[in-house]
Amino acid sequence: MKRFGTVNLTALALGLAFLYLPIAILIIYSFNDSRLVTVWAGASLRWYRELLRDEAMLDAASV
Amino acid sequence: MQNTQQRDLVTRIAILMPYLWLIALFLVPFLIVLKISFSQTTIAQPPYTPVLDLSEGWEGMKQFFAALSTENYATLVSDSLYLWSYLKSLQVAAISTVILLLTAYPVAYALARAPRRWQGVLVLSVVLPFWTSFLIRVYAWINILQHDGLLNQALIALRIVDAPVTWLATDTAVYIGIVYSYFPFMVLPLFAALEKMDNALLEAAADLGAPPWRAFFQITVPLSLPGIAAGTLLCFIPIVGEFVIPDLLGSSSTAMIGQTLWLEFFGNRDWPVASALAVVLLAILVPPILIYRQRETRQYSPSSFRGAPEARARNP
Repeated sequence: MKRFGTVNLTALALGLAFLYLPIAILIIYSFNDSRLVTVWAGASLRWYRELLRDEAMLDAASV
Repeated sequence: MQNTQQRDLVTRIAILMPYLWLIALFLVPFLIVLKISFSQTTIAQPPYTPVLDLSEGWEGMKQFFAALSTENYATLVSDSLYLWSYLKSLQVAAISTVILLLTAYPVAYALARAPRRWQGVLVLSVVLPFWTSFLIRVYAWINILQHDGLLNQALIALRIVDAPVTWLATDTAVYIGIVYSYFPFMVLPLFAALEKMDNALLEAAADLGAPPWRAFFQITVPLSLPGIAAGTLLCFIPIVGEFVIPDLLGSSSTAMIGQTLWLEFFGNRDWPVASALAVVLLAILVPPILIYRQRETRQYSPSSFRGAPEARARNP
């Protein structure tokens, strides 16, 4: 009988957290209203709007 | 017997394809780099001389070989910067690999012990970050490690430190970045080795009176040794040549061989010295690979045809 155990669960949780936290932080801060990357100024789609207007970025993504 | 011959031929052709691919895309470029490492810098296009011109005929070839020199290798030896770069790279790679081994082993072990239903999803979730842009994830770390970034904010909020700590442009940031980027490379080989392990062996150990920690060190770790070796090599060798992570997260004093090579190539436009650096780097990295290959083939030699664990028991 394989028991999974709390040690294994903790190891797995910490490992996955380590892998996904930077990505999650990146996604959350992409909704940041502020131009300064580290100061949270409220949620907004401002940067996504700017991305859709940026010709160079869209070209790079499509080719 | 016709069929056996046909099968042999098909097998040979099947092996020939990757062989040719490797020759064209690995060996030939390496020979080009080797040749450039024997050339001198010049202000021309390409920025090295001599250039092999087959239309010159035999005389041209003789002139070509006469103009090659080992001057660049003498340069490498004369300036201690290069020696320090190599040593620094080996140091960073060794420490990173050890950290990777210690942090990835529990995760791989947990994955191996996970219920079969979940194993697929969990392994995929370890690999998934790899499908996103590597550069973007390193940038995410720049964001976190900044002076007023999230890590410092968290540390101050938890009252672990009083003032922001400098993380960027330090060796620590480079280690964090490298461990983060190479994590799946260490987890997957370890998982593959641990998953093959027969749990009955651990039960037998328990029956014989071994405490869990002892069973772990005397049974689990030795049996996962192929995974450890594979993961170690898979991480150590690329990390020695790493450029992007030390460049973004470290400083010019981190000076790993990748950064030095980049500076020589793009900063000094000195292709020959950069090529010499690359050739020496390869020379440093090849012996561990050869040793590893030798040990691997020894396991599968005729005297140990019954498989790896028994062979290791007989040939410690």
